[in-house]
This record gives sequence, structure tokens and C-alpha cells, in this order.
Amino acid sequence: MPQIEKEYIETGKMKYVFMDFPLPMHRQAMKASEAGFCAGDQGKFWEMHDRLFANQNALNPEDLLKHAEALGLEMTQFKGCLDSGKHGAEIRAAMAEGQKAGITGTPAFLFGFIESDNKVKATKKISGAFPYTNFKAAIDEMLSGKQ
Amino acid sequence: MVLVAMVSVISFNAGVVFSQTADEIKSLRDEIKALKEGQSAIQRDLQEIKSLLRTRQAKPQPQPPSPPEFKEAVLSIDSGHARGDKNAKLVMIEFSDYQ
Repeated sequence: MPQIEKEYIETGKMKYVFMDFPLPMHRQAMKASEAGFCAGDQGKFWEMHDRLFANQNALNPEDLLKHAEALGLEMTQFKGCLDSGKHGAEIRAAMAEGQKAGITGTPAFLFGFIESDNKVKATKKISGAFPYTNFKAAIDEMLSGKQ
Repeated sequence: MVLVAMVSVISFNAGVVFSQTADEIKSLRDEIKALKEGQSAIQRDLQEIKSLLRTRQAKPQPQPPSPPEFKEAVLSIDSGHARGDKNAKLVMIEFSDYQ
């Protein structure tokens, strides 16, 4: 969400983490998530992430390759990455973390503070794509220390 | 002579009856007036209540951002992709799928 980006991320008040959560009933979602990771291997995770969200009707295997080509990725490496499914384990790990935290649907947002070694203690949750005002309220509360 | 006396007695009594009736009528009139005023006051209250209800219905009820049932959870963000200042302590984690 561009307002969140501008108000909180660009200003350094908050960082944003995207955790893949391909739902089992979305048959193309897993490979799409892998495409993100494979693009990330070549330094273009966010570009692929943005492109996939802009093309949610074009996520079949041929489409994924077209997206990679459009981003100028090295195709042999990209295809190899997708076919081998090497990032499957990481994606499943992300899903497991989400499930442990009670995530069942997408999109879902957790807000928390970093503890140690890349762990976050989440104390707020927004389930679904609510308007910016809801996010602003939650984030401002976290920043004010009220939680 | 008796007739005159009788007529004057009757008219005196009638006068008494008439003034009693006049009193009753006056008090009835007063009661009606009071009832009417009470009714107007009730009608004004009803109007106020109606317009309060209307404004409340017109206002969209805001949904709370997070349901109170969410208890805290500790999770690892190792498998996620981060953006923003890596030293920021506050984190927003989005779980999403592309489809």
C-alpha cells in the first residue's frame, strides 16, 4: 500500500516483511511464490512480486516464464530454479510460521516488534485488505507504545 | 305568588346547576389543554429520537482493525523478504498469495 510505504517504511519507522502463503486451493499459487524466490536469487524479488500481483490472471507456468523474461532474468537459471522446486521448503516454512501464528486466509497482516535473531513478537493482526485508515490506526498505536 | 316563588327557586337552582356545570366545563377545558400540551411535548421527543436514529443509521459503523481474540504470537521472519530500514524495530508482516 503506497501510503504505508510513504508514511512508515520510507521514514524508517517500520519495516515490512512479505511472507509467502500460497493457499492450497489456489493451484498456481505455489509456483508463483517460487517464481518470486527464483527472481530473488537474481536480485529481483520485489520486481517479480509486483509483477505477479499486477497479473493475477496470468500465473500459469508459461506466464511465469514470460514475466521472468520481461524482467530480464537469466532464463536458464530461472527455469532450473522453478523446475527443481528448490525454494519449496522455504515457502512451506513461511506458511508454517503463519499457521502457527493463526493465519488461515490471505491477505493477513501482523504487527509486532523484533525480538532476537529475526523473531517478531506479533501483538496485532488485521485479517483482510482493510482501508488505509485501519492500518494507520494499528501502526500508530504500536508506535505510541500502547500496543 | 307561589308560582313566582317556585320559578325563582327553580331559576336559583338552575343557576347553581349551571355554575357547577360551568365549573366542570372549565376544569374539563383545563384538563384538555394540559393533555394537549403533554401530547405536543411527547411528539417533540419522538421527533428528536427519530432524527437521532436517522443520523446514527447514516453513519457507517467502523470495523475494528484487529479482533480482540488475537493473542500474541512469536514467529520467525527468516523465510520472508524484507524491505525498509533493517534496523527498524516495528515490523508489519504480510501473509499473501499471488493468486
